[in-house]
Amino acid sequence: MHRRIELLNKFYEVTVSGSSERRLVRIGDATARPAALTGTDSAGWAIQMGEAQTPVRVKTKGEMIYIRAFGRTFELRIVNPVEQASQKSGGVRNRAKAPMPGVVVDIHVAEGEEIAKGQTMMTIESMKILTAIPAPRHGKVNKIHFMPGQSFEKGAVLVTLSSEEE
Amino acid sequence: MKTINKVLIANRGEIACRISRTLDRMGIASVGVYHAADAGSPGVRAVSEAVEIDGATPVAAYLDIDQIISVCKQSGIDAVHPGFGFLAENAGFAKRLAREGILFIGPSPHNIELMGNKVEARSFCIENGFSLVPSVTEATGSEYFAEQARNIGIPLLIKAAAGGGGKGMLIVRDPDSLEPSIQLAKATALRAFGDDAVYAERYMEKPRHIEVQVLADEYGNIIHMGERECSIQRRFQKIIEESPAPCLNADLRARICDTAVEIARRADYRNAGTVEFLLAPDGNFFFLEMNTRIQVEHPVTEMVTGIDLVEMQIRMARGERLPFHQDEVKTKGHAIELRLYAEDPENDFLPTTGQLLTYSLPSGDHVRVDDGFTAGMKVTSAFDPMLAKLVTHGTTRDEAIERARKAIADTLVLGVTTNADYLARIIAHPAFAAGRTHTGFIPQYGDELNPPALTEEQRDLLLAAAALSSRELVNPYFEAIEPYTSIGKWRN
Amino acid sequence: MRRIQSTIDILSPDYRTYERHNRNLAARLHECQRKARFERPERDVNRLRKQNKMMVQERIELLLDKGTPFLELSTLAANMAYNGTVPGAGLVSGIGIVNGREVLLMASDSSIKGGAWYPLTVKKMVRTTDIAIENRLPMVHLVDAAGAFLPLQSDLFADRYMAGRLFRNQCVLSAIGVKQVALVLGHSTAGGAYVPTLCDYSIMVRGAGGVFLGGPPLVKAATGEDVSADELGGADVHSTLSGTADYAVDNEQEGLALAREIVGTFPRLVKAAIERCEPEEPYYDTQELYGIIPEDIKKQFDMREVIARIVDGSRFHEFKPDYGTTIVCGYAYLYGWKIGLLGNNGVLFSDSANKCTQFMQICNRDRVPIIFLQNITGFMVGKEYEHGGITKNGAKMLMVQSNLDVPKLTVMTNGSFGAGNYAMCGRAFDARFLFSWPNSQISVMGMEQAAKTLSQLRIRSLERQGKKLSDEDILQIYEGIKQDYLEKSDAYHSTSELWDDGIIDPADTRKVLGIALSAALNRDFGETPNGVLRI
Repeated sequence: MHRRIELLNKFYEVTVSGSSERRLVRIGDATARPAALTGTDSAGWAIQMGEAQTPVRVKTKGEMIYIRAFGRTFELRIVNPVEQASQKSGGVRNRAKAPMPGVVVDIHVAEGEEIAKGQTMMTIESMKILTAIPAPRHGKVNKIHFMPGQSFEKGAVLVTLSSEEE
Repeated sequence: MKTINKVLIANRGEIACRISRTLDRMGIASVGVYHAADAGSPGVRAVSEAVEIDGATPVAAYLDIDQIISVCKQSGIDAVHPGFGFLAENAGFAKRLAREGILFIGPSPHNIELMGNKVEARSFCIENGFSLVPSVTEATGSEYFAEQARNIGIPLLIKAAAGGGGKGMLIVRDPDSLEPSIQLAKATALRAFGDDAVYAERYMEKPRHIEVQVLADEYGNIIHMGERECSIQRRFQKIIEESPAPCLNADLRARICDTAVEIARRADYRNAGTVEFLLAPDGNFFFLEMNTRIQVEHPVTEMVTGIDLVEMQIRMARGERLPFHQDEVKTKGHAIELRLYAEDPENDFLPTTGQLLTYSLPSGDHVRVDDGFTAGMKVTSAFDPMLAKLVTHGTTRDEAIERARKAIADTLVLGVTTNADYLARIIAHPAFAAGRTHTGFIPQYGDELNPPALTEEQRDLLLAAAALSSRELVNPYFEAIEPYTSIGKWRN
Repeated sequence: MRRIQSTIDILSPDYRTYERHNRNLAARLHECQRKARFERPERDVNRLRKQNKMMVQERIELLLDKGTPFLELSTLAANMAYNGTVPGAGLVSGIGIVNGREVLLMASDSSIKGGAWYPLTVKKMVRTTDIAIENRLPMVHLVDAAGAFLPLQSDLFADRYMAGRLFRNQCVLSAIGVKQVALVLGHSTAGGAYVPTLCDYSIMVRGAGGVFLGGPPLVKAATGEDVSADELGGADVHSTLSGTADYAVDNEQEGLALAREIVGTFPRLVKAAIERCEPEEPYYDTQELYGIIPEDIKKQFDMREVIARIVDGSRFHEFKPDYGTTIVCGYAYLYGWKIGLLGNNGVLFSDSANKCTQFMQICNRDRVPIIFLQNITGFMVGKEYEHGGITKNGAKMLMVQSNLDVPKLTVMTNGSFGAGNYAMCGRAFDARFLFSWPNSQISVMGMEQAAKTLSQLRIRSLERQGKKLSDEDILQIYEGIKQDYLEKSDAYHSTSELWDDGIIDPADTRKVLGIALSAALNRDFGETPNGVLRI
């Protein structure tokens, strides 16, 4: 298996191969070296790679790995490959469209405002239900196409975000 | 003598735990208030009864005087201990409590008003002949203020009159930036304290920050409990404190402490407080400010004197006389406090958040840990980022430092970035061991306090440890089978 | 199990000659493969860069698990067709590992004529999907093809095993539970639009992927409608409106990472249960194969020496060693799996044919896959042998071999002529995988014999027309026919026409067969119970 791991704001390609008896770890394009992590949570772990070895304390949660070693504490992040590739793009998701016909109830952002992915930009009402329209990605609101009280059809573009080149 | 059977702690976290420990020991019932953000925290579990309060923000809840007083009335509270921060130096709060017939475990509203306003406090000291760092206030009007500020001499500090605790201060090193700095300081003060009054003060290079713990009863008896040195500061935020101050000879110590007592006496001070001074390298010392509350770093005084300050506060509030004379207050050995913060020293000390996946703090003889967290708790940006205070005691300063070194080495926090390793590097620095501490310590040794760069080997070990710990990389469910694993990377 | 005792003398002059010869052949093979995989006209490379597309080999490297092998099949397809302008037939196929799962990959190479489908491209696609069906291998399609190469449409459209067969195979794959993922990285027009649509999972890349039965130019011509490729059948259209695709991604990297994630959701395949033990590297060095195969196809070598450099520990249990000695049969282990081997050590006689027939029945009954190592000029001819029933015995061998339930793998190590090719599981007999060595030759009869026969016919026909031929003319005709015959029986010609699944470096035979066997075991095989006839 291979993943990108982030350590101190730099990214490294790490590949783990071999079997559970003998694991090989390869960092970037270097040759793979045998590596092992031995120990217990209570007594502490030791990481060995090739000739080098050092005691470590490790805790993981999701994609974050927290390690105490060399008298310092580090946070490493394992990057999910699908998400990593998705962020690299220019962001073609510039539009938030109406999932069904309805009417605008409230607008929560302003044109030119910086927003986060998932942030509610608008509330619409349709079929007696209120629905939140989230931002498809991080970015800046370019134009809001409908004002409160105005109605729209299914698929209408409600909010456009500035494309990243702007 | 007033009776105190039930005390409300108008605070949270570490200090709430610490205060309730003393209340338990004294057999006094404790009531706590908490915002939902603190639900289930050690501070809430430490008290006998906890009442939930609400606010626009978590901090706002703890500042809501009306709500807190209503809790007091409903719970039959005799006295309130405000801790530090929040309402501890809010004279209005103290007055409201007095009106309600509830004791305020702290100085009088008048003490708070006098010393709480830094400009008034300084005027008071000038009137009474105490030395101050040369300063000038805006009293004479803003046009002249800038000129007078310039006359004090560069470099100087612009400080908020209604501020304190190191917040909102600006250093001016360049005469041309004086007026813009004044404007900026005023704007900041208005935003942070609701009052844009500022004053300018001569900025001393390499002074030491020496403060004296004073304690007073209602009968005019005032004593000091020794001094603390809090020179290790980062942007005016204290991070390491010790008692006694390593640089003072007996004479200088006596003079500073006596001065502190005298200031308290002239101010008709009650209960516990701290008088802060700046000590210049030439031995001159100048009044800085007085804090009319128990301070974060009080444990170092407690460890060298053996006296429980919170207990003293309660007893003074009850109307007891000071149980000892000045000469009965003896200090033994040396204590050092390290403040563990949830902040990232490698990212400009920005506050960090996360979950305390591993939270293992040291324990043992000569080690005292005051904290308000347990393993598994989440650290959020709702409150200030202090996680814990690690205090060690030794018969000598060296021994205290060695025990502090071991304590911080035994500290393991994973899941939230802390300044633990940074603290370790400070106390390991030869200048610290030699006692060459001053308020410019961290700027002076800034580069040396940075962590050494990772070697390639260390970096590889970390990456390997992370890879082998993670299900993303080591998961038999996604591993190739034989013969693919034996063949390895190959193309025909 | 006893180990084969090799008698090869690596210091002998013969060894040195053979080794030099075979190493050159191997070097030539690697060079041809390198060119086929990587050399492209600069104009085409630039075109891809401008379109923001990765080269097919780059895509494959991102798709596969790092540190794992990739067995590419038919790398040199079409190397002797279309003037050599369509390397690999414009398509890359092979077996690799994605998220720990064995998959069969089929990737269009749009740097070659935009990925257009030539007749051999279609043949390669049909062969690849046939491999998927026969071996139950999940498929990953990287679609980036312009469509059929119109000038040759009559050779790729109408017949039973032409383009339509590809889509029919995809449907059959779906019915038998073999999963397919498609990543559409370019246009997939007309019939090609069915490739991703018939898959279980279809991912499209925004701005690049396009799926439509008729592209914009066709639409414009047919109805006058003006519409861009993206509006007509782009990623967003198909993943939000029509449901023709399942996912839309922003770029190729995201698409490949998503395809990996999807393959990760496939269950791990359970291999057919056959005997298995701990793997062991061969005792003898596989590189010595170069020094064992003579430079002249008429020279004989001992197939046991080849076996010793393929199987685990070089261990081989030979069956009936003293009978029918022109064929070697026996058991061995390959990466721990027990296999049966049949290898030629000369011409097939009645006894050797019968020995094989008996052995193959035992293997079939005992669920032992069989590997055929071909080096056969044919069956013995002559009165004695005909009277001895050589035709009948050959037919028996063919009958049993064709009806085997166990997986079969074939390697053409040298000659493969006439009926010998059939008996030893040639292409028509459904070996799961069939590979050739670079020195191998294949034709209906030996070259000398055939050239003589053909040139005789030619000469007689010319003489009937009244032409007068000198000795030189006769020699020229003979040499010309011989040359043409040699070309057409060469391994490169055979692989160009997709008569095999690729030419392999002899030293790689063990790895190739290991992967092929592993892939083959993904489909369980039934048993047709019968007693073993001592033929």
